[in-house]
Amino acid sequence: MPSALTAADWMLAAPLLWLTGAGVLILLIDALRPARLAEAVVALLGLTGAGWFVLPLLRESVSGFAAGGGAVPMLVSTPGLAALALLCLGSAFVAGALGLRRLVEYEGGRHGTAFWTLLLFCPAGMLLTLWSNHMATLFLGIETLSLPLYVLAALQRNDEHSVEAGLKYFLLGAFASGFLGFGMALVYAATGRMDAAAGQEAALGPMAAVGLGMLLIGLLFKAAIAPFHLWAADVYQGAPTPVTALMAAGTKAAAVAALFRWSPGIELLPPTAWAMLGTLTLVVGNLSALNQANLKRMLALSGVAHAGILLYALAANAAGLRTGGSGGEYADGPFQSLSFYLLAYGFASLAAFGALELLERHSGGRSDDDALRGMARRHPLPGAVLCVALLSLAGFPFTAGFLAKYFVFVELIRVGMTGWALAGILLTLLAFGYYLKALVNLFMREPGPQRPAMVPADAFAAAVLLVPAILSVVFGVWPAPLRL
Amino acid sequence: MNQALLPLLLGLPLAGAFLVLLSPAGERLQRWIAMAVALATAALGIQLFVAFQAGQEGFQFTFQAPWFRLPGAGEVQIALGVDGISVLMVTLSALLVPIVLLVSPGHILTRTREYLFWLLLMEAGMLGVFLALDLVLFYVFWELSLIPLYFIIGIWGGENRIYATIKFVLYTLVGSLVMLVGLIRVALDRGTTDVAALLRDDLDPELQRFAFACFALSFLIKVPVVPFHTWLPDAHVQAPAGGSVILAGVMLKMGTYGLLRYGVQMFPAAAVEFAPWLAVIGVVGIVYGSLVAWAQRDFKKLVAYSSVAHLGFVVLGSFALNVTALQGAVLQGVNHGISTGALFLLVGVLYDRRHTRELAAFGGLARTFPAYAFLLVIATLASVGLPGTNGFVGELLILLGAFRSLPWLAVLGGLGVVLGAVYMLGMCRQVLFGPVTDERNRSLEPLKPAEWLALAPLCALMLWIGLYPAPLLDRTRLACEALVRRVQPYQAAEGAALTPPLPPGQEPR
Repeated sequence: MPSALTAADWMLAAPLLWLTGAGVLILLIDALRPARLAEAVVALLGLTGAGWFVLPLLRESVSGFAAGGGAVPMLVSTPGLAALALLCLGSAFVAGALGLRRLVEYEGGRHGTAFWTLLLFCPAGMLLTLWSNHMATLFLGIETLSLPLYVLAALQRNDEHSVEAGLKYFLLGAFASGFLGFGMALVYAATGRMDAAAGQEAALGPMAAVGLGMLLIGLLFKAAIAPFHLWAADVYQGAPTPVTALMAAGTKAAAVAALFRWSPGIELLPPTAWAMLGTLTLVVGNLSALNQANLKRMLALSGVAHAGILLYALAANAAGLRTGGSGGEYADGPFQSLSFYLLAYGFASLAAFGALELLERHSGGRSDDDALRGMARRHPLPGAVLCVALLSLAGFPFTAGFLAKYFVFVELIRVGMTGWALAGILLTLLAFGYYLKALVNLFMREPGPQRPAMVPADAFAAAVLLVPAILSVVFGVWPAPLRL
Repeated sequence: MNQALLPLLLGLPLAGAFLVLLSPAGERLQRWIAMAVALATAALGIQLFVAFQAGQEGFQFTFQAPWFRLPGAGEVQIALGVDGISVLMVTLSALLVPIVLLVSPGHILTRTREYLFWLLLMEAGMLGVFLALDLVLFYVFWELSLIPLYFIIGIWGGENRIYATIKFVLYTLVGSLVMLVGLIRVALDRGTTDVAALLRDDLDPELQRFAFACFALSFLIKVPVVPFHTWLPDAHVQAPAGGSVILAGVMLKMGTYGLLRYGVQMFPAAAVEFAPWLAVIGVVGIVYGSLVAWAQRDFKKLVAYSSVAHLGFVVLGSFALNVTALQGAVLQGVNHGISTGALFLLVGVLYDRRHTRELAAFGGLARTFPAYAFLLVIATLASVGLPGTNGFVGELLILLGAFRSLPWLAVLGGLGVVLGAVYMLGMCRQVLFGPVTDERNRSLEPLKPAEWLALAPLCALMLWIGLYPAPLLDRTRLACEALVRRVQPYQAAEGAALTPPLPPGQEPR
């Protein structure tokens, strides 16, 4: 029963097609007439073009690909999700700009094609995940975003940490995908439905409940939420820093947003359970970040803590759904706060990991505190970017990070969970401890001996890096455009 | 002009900070740029003081622009304005920054550009705290003023600077994060973050108690009162002289200002309820700060602890809740900024020359360094509260007011005045008089023109306010009367206006 694609279908499909098309084109270039510059240009144009196709989605909600002509669309985009999609594409762009000099040149440029192709496929998976409204698209999205990342994490194959990161991510990721897939199967078996609202059916049998629980675990793993966060530190640290930036900003946004969109279906969990999970994640993430002597690892674990705060937005949402139903003026509040938080965290992470990449080029590839001591003084531009990023991650005013936390806690207090908000706010104090420690190390200590730079000065990467740093400040002062 | 004055006052240092940071100018030129910006800001501050209508109640020079919408809490505004309580603080802050810049070449020897950037950024933050008329905007500036000082202490501070700076930030942050919770609850409950509207509002007493506790904790840490004061001596001792001046002169005033505006004025019912306890805390600060200051061997620590005592007076005056005491509290805030600022500068003068702050290392400076002795005596007498200096007027008003509503506490506070004289004059004796114990003190470099230029106006202000405080008191009167009118209904309800509850441990006679 062939049915023509509607205009809405095309709007959603266009960025995906553009991304994968560009990826295939790069493979063709490599096969027919290898040219490194052309590959880079095609990849960056692919990402920019996809972003251009996402722009119209910022204005309106679009649902497409209604399954079997039925009522349930397989992909749904809202302005907030489209903004997150732009963030994913942007983080791939930043990762590309940062990888241009170090990763693409690695081992004589042998892996350039792989890098660029995977860098295009990965955000396609992120977009699918963000927009997924059906188990098929969710699973497809998660797999399409994960598989390239496994490879990208292990791209520096002479570096044991990189290989370890890839392997660890792959093994645990495959396990999580198993949970996800099996959970979906159980839910389908129990309810006969595969859409996001399947879990909202009135009477859920034990089979569906187990299935939803497994689906939840799969998503929690991808979002690196305690107790499923243990892979995060090793993988973030071992992966090449540009790839880490992509994971921190893009994967986190896709996974957490998917978790949010699928959470109403997981009615097993009352608001308090989400808040407890968030607090646990916040405690675990902060406490383990506090002890790190490596900036990259610290940022990874602080990312876990940020996911904890994001769970508070889920708690507020669950509470809102319970008490007030779905309508009302503030129904979008929790999602608005979540998407703003993800954007703010994304900008700050891109700036932080990007600046770290630039500093690593002068520290012999090391990111431990000893190697980075006083580096911000010697390299003022990455230093300033890192300073803004760390302040935004910590949540100081005039950065987007402050307003992001503020919006989430407003939602939490609005639904009457003041106690949890107080706990969360005081826990973020721990985060100030380690961000300030990092700033002390970068700015206030004497730098060590100068090392030769690993790659020549990279004006392009530095310029690209300024964008997320500037956005962190701009949206900290003027958040209105991002309250989507 | 009136519309644009406050945004200009805020924007000038902010723009100046980035101008210094981004300009390719050399170090000398950077200093000149920063100085020009600071002087222009100070001129605007004076202009504000002069143009302020003493006979007009409420906020003046108001400015409003929409910022962003917060579901459930209306439109967050960039709202600015001054009244009698804040106008003095704004002028004081604007005046102190050029003075700090003037002395900075003496002790800021590295990374000047960054120092100037942070200093001007801090000025913008501090001014913002006093000018903001929106809860969110206030909070933003409150936190913004924190980061620059974190860097200033951490980079240009003394031996133990990193410990001190992290302690300072973490202490302050505990308070501000708790304040954030209170702030959000108030904003959601009233559906607005407009301070002017909230100051007219009668909030639910339960909410008032909660919010007052959240806000007051933050302010009490910032002031700081005993037992939250331990960050202060560390921060002061480690900070460079300029940082100490700003910290004592303005930063701590943010706490006392907050107590009045976001404590008493915004949550009057809770303030009346908690007032006796807070007054007790103030008196504990006076006595404890004085005793600890008495025991200090380090010049800078002594001044730091004297700050704790002086701010105890301000807290006592704020919670005596009558016009006289409130006027005294506001004035004493200004006085403390001027005299303690001068004292920190004077400590810095000695430190730049001898690289020690041990009181025992000095003696007989009156003979070897007479100009210094002259200035130190004036600053000391102002700090002690000798009639004819500014400290006298402030302390007298506070004690007069406090006697009326909290007589026993006022007696104890009066004891603090005596103690203050003991340790400050003791310090003077040890540093200035007696035999010259160290030969190096015979050949101290005379005061540089920049040091004269920095100290002379402060000393002149001490005498001017001491002899003719009317221009300041006129400007605060209506605002303080409005504060009292705000709390009176609740005082009447509690029957507290005439028979205040006795502090614990006091038997009625």
